[in-house]
Amino acid sequence: MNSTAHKTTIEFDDRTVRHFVIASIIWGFVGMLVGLIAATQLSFWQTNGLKFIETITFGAIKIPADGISFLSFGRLRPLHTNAVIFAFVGNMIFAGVYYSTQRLCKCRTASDLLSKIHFWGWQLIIVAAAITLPLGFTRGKEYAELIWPINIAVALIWVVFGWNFFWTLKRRNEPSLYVALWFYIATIITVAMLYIVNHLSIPTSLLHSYPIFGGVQDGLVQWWYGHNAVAFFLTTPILGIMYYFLPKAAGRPVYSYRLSIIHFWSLVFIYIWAGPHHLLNTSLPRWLQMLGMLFSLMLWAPSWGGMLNGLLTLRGAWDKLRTDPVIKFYVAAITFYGMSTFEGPLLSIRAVNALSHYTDWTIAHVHAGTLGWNGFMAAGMFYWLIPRLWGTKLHSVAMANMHFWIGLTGILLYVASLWAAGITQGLMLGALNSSGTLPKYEFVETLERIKPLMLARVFGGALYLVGYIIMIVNLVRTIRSGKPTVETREVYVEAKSASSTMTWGEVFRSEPVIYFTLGLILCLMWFFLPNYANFGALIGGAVVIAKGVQTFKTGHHRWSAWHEKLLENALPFSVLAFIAVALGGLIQIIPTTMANRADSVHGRLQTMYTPLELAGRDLYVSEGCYNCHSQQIRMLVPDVLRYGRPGVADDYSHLGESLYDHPYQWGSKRTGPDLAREGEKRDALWHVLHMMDPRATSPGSNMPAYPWLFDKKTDIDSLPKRIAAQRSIGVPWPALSADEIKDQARAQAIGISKVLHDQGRTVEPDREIIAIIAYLKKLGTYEEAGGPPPAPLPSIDRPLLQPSLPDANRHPLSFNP
Amino acid sequence: MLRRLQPSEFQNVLVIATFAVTLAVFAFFFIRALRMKKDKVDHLSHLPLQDDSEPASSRHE
Repeated sequence: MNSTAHKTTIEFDDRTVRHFVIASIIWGFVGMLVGLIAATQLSFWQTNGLKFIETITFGAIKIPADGISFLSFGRLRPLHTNAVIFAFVGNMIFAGVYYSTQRLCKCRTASDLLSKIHFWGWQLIIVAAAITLPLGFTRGKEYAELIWPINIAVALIWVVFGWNFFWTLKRRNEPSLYVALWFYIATIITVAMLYIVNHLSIPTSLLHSYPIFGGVQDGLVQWWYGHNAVAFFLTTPILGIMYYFLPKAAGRPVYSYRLSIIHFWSLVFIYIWAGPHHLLNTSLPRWLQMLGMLFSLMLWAPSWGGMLNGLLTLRGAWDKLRTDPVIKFYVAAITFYGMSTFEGPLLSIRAVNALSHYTDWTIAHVHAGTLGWNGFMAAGMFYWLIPRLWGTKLHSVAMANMHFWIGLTGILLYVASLWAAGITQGLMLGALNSSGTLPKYEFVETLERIKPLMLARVFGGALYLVGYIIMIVNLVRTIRSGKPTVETREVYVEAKSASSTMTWGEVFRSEPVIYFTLGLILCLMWFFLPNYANFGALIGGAVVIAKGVQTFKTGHHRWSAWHEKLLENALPFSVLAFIAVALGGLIQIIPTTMANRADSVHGRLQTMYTPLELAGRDLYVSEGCYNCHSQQIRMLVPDVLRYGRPGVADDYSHLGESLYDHPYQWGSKRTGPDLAREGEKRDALWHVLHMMDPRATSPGSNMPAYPWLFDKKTDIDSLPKRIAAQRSIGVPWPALSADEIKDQARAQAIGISKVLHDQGRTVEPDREIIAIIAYLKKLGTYEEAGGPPPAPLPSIDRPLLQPSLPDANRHPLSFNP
Repeated sequence: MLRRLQPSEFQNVLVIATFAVTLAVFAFFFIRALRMKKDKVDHLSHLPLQDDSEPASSRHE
């Protein structure tokens, strides 16, 4: 032991860990139960309200209404996703982070008060979300639905978490930062950045706001966030937990620490770029699609490196797999991590994505990750932690094993049935008739075909939930058999020397940074300087790099010392990680600000909404219609033939057609058909009948009925504020007074009501259904903005699942100066 | 020069530039990871297991 070391006793704060563990278990049950209900609603539309009671009692109990607003799929699905991501996995992450950080840093968490604020603040946020989402208060963007006051609370509580975490790092008694802590650092920084940018909004009231981004840019920002929510909320912190808890459970160090470092940096550098793969074959500019696809493919390597590193940690300890349920859950979880990170890049290949996107294949992929990777990692951690936190033994290993096998069967049934459903529906939707001029199947026929598979998914989900309930019973009995414990530990602490602290000057005025930055700047000047000067810059860059290599050879110990010191100083390390993730985001988002402007658009330009249509659009968002309906005809022949208008050439969705949509509504799943051209397809009466009873107009449909739209009145009075908010984010509304806005809305509503009256159906003009109809009738309308004509749709003598339109036809239109 | 930044190659330049930065920094950390000293690697990889060997006690709350 070093002479400067001294012994100290640490009392860990495990009360906070216990709180987060319990919260995670409770919210996990709630989130999964809501998910099961939502899945059931897709198989049995009656469960969107209480109508199913009539069915299961064979009509003995009569239920007058078909649907109940706060039980409808469009409102419950966001509750499910938010609950499992932020409540179940979120609380699990915090439990794992608080437990492992204290041990790895050999110190107690910096502030008990901040820990308490973090815990109770997070639970309040979850409760607020659980109330507002079923009531229809939403921003209309997936996993980013929460209204702006809750978002501010999320940001503040996240700052409290980060503050507590970094303060703990600063007070640590272990100089080195274990790789798990790197993953936590990346999580805290990146989630903050993603969440803040994607939730930037202009409020119109306490409960409503418009995202500042619109159209394609909103789509890009959304999936930059959405994909990286998966990456930095559902993956990197769980990997940190894996790198800590798996060695603990296996009783041996991680297989390759070097590989874990490479795993970390490659994930951080690559993940942030992959978001655009959610928008393949759409009107997103081609270079962004290619960027998303290529970086997604690159993710194969680090993900599998991480998986192998995890599995090989068990070398020599595989016998524990038979006896230790913790190891069993971890091995299955890591295997699911490998499988789903193989499937993700596969689905990011444009040709594969043409088949898989908007189908249940994506849902299968997501659930392999969440149920298998997140859910089983959580279970493994709970089974390991809870006996230790309560100073006892696990109540029943047999019950844990039963949980494992029932849960695993549930996942496999769930995933396999949705794989089959997705591929079946994708192929059917892409099939054309023998002359190749029309879709072979009606949309509802494809739905009918996959209904048995959707039912199998419900059984799979139910099995998983049964396993989870067995876990709850087992853990509650375990907790009852023990008492909360306080763990104290004696550790040797080396005195901190001044030389171990790194100043900013030491970080940035170091040889590696100077040579690298100078060399890179000179090389990049090649792009910008005029002829000859550019070659001079390139040669200069090469000289600097050569000099850097020479310096490295003669003084590599200095470079090594700089790097070692960097890794022991959390703040400079965090700044570097932030630069890595911020670069990927900026490069994608900034150019689209140029593309998503009316003066950049040639060809089709979205027609402005009227005030009533805007009110209808807000209701469409509020009801969560985007959860089942897309508004994006991809550049694929089957998409254009199915959803485009007969006789209209090149009727795919153009970039300018959603320019003023705040939020964008391209969707990510087609449980129902695309609505991009809905406006011209149906009349008002059809929509009335459809919303009252979807099966009256579309036999076989699983869409819920919306009877409340016929009772509730449209909020016309808030329209002036909403339009003012839209104006402030660049939507070119004409100058209208508040009275003019309301008068226009009322006049249009009366017009629609009169049309319906003439067709024999009386609907009061002030009802929400009228505003929704106004919006639906507007979908797909545009003006020609001039410029070259749109790219022609090529003949369809090519494989239908290939992107059919040359993308080069689009992006020059978007970026012309 | 500014004129050359405006047209569609703008985004290509940015992408290439950022990719270069990303690759270079990643390469640096990759090499550093491979060249890490064995005793350092051993110390780091055993950090999660260290507390198992340290004297510990627990009491009920």
